[in-house]
Amino acid sequence: MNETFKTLKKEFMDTGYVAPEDWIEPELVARIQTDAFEYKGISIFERESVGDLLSHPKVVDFVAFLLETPDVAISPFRFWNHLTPGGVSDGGGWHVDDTYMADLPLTEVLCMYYPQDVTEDMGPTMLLPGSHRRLYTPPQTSKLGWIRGQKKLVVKAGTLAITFPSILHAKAAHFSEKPRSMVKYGYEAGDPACGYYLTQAALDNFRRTEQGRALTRFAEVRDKQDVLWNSYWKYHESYTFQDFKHQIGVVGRRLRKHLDHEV
Amino acid sequence: MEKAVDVWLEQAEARIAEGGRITETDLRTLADMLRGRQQHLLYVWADSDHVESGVISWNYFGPFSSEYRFDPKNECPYKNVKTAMADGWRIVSFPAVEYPLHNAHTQLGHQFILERFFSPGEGLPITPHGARKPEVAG
Repeated sequence: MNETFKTLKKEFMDTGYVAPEDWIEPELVARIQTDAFEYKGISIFERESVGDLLSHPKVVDFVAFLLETPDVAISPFRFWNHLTPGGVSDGGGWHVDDTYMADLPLTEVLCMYYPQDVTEDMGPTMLLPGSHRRLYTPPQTSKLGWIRGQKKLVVKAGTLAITFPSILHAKAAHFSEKPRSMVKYGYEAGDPACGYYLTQAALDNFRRTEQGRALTRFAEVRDKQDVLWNSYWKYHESYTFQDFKHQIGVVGRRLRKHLDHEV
Repeated sequence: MEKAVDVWLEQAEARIAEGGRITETDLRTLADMLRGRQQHLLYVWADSDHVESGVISWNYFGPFSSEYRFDPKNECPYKNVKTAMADGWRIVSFPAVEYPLHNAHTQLGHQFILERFFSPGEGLPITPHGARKPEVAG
């Protein structure tokens, strides 16, 4: 494996994230930017540009290196285009997307892609480097305010942050007149027991390429409502899920097995 | 003590020192000030459960409006819990003993919750997110 990947993996393990800013080609950056301001929510994943982003060979190779398996799949439980229009809007509090399990191997990474430059006043993502190796609950994290060592991701268009899902992160408030998109998605170690739903259009989009076909081999086609609600954590009624509703990686894997029984 | 009560006490002391006296009206004014006090909460997550340990994180809650857009940028106005206590804050919740699970810490830091009573419109000048502003009625 090349030295760049090794260096980045060390940084990833130490700080909980890396944010390469020049991996995505300018032509693809431009295409994603056009789509990101037009297609909100999960519809962004039906766009060719974002299909190309998720299937990007260098990104997928690096994720395989991080997860220590060639068998990488997309992890759709946090697919979303977080588009904030220009003008003042609030941010969101500190949270984690997954429970850190020191005794289990890492099976999932969280990705946050920025289609445009993000300045200090455009609602940048905030991260706490090194915070990924703790067990947090939503009642704890939601009360946190300023944190020593916190970092704002003020980035150039085309930057892709790859993080532990267990890293503390938040969205700062938006004060600029410029809109800001952040395309959130994930990858995981492929597991046939952990299927998920995609719309036909999204599946067709990913399956244009060999890489995309490999990433979506466990996907099932459903309509948009089903993809949104039944492949998504928010409305699951299990006590554990409600209590740890932000923890959707390691915990989510087990719950997805539970979801299969419900269908 | 809150600022308005401090001022009342200073004025009362000065009046007594000059041979004056405190009237029933003065006492009613003091009572009104005390009845109107509002509880404010200061959350401090510290490096350890000792009151002199450094601040990892903080937040500030109370019956006030502030420039609350989630944008934590202001450091804690106190260097530790001890300096907050010296400014009149009382600890109402001490950090719980941590039992690490799965070889991981279960919290970011040691959580102290402190309270202090202020007259309406008074309080710390800042929150982590900006300036504190008096609540706008309605």
